[in-house]
Amino acid sequence: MQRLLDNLRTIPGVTGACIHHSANGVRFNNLPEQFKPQQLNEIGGQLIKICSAGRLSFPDLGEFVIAYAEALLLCHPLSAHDCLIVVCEPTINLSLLTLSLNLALADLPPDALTTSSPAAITPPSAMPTAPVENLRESGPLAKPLQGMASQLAKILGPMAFIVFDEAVAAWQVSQTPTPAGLSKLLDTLCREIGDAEKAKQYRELVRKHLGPASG
Amino acid sequence: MSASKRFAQTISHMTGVARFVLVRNDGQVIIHNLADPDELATTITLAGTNVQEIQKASGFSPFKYLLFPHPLGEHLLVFALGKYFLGVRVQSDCDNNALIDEITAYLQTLINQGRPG
Repeated sequence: MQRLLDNLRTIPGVTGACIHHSANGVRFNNLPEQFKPQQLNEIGGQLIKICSAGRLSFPDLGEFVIAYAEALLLCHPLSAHDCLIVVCEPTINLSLLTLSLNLALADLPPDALTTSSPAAITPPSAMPTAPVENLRESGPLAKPLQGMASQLAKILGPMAFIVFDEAVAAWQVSQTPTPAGLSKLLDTLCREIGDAEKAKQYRELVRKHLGPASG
Repeated sequence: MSASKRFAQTISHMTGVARFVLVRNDGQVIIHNLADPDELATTITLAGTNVQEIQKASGFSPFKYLLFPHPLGEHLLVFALGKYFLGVRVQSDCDNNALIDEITAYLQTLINQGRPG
């Protein structure tokens, strides 16, 4: 992975890159020293939120680009937890960068994110869970979860999708995610709303959207 | 014609603009030309707010734009305008750079005029 970052830096206009893990922070990095680790962790955390926001409108979102006067940031999610952050000069040829990046990533061995990284120690879980994004994007739960999330947005506004993802993550740890178990998720979300009237309204919206079996 | 209608007319007539929504940074939709703006408004508010947080963390100057490209369908561009965010769904065959320049120039004229931010 470090070699990928070093290769990226040879592209004209690329300042450097790093891999950020949602829980462990920066794992690989070849950015100049002016980018402090704590600063990169903070930026990485914000980029994950932007990615989640983007997936509300683009469920198959690949990468995205933020242009500042001083630099251009390209964020490319590598997995549910890892994203590649490339810092470039504002004038970079983006087509060349994305093409080079996609070619390099295609050649990456499947275990590239789990090797040679001192911070990449993830304790084995007795019940491995699918990332929330996966549940929401495909499979039998995708449609009801998308519906519940969009209805929650009507109640909670912009914060809804953060609340929703956290609730789904907790729900799938507590039980095997099945359509029959959605009523428990609905209960959790109603508690998170924290307002009896709004919670009732949300239940109604979900019931209308998914049908009476939703709880 | 009101300022918001003029704004809507100008943005929606730019070449490559498929749809747009202008939201306040608290998520309140100000003006749009979508059938249902809620989802896009949420995306734009959350994304725009976090882009500004990166700005603070990194010391960069205010962001110029955020681009969610789509390999097949419409792209999404987000711009800041004072306490508002403008989200534009861009036709897939559009020249992004030309549109970004056009929108940026228009927003800058509004900022210079002191409205609507």
